[in-house]
Amino acid sequence: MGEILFSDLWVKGWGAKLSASDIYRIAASKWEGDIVLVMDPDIGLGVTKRQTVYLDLWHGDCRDTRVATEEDEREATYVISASAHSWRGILEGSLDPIMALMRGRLTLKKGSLASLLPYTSAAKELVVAAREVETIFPEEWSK
Amino acid sequence: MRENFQTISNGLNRDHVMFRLWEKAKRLGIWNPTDIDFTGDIDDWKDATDSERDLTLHVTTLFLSGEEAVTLDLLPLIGVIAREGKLEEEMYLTSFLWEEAKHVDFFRRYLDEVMTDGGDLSRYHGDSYKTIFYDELPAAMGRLREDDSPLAQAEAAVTYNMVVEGMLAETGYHGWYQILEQNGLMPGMSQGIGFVQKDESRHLRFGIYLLSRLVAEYGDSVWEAVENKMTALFVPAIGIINELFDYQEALFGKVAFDLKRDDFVEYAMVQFQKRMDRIEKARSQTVEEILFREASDED
Repeated sequence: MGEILFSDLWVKGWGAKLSASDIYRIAASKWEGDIVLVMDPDIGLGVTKRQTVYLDLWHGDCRDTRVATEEDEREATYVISASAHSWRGILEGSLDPIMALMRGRLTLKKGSLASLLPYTSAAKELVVAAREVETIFPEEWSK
Repeated sequence: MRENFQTISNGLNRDHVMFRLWEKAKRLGIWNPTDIDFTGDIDDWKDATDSERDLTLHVTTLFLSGEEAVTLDLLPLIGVIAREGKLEEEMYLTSFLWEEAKHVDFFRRYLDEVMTDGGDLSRYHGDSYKTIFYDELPAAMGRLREDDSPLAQAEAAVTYNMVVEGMLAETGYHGWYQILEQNGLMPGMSQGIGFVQKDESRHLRFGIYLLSRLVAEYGDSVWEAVENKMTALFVPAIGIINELFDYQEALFGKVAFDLKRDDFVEYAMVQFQKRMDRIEKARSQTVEEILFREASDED
């Protein structure tokens, strides 16, 4: 069993993995700012509506996680959006998160790109932790 | 041993995309740095504030040392192209190196005639700058003396053309040119950078062409090498932009001319994305399609 992708329990599981990761703690030791991740709908991939999760990240700690509210999206330091196809590539390991950002497959909807880009090591460890969460993906992802 | 001569057996291929670029270089790359009038720049330099002078000196130093690096480091690539007998490409590259040398001439003349700083300008070289220009660029280009494999060529072209020219030089020149034009400052610098930008656009076109040809000919192994090298150099490349802004903020509390670092980073990203999209297209193209691409399909 696992948790449904982008659900509240899934993002809490992700936060727990981050809190348990010494590598992430070191890589993100200077990271300041909460983040909202957005997965745009893709019927073909079984994502029927826009989904969002919130992570409060501060100096290597993950202080809070939840399904993001509208206020979270307004107030978060960073909002990063991608198609379900791109999230699938990132979570399955076929798409490097830094290359995804460089190529525009991940889009920074809110926040300063210049301030985010120095934290590529932290971003990679974020993704490593997400991949460790036992996840129930939409059935369409395995087709 | 030479076995034949292309020019007397088959002639020159004037439809080759690199021969067309050579034609452009002959027409457009003939400006002379010595002819540019710096009189207005000398007046502007006298009137500038401390932070404006420091920023101008900083960017000019980065431009000058960057141009020196690309002038000194290009030859191994020309050597590979020559050994492979790609005559039209090498003919274009003769203009490429000549233009880089003119850029060195231009920026050094500017320092000598307009600016009055006598200190060691290497103080403007931060850690990221050193990573790219002291280590990565000479290493990637120097490797070609002993290793002319497609992967070595691709990694050299990524470092030289995509990162140094495509992300750094083009972004720096674009941003600085906009500032000078908007503020009506330093007309000689503005005119020279306008010429440099046009030269660099041809250099970038060569880089995209070379990477596209390598991807079309050798497939995914080259494409993966391109992606991996870009990912590895991305952080220090963006770091150079951040270092410039950090330096100004530390000294003066803000950046002269109200420059915004996100404007520079976002411009670099957009340009980079367009070029990567272009090179990725080569995965489904033939070498012939790359060599004889229609002019309307060029950048």
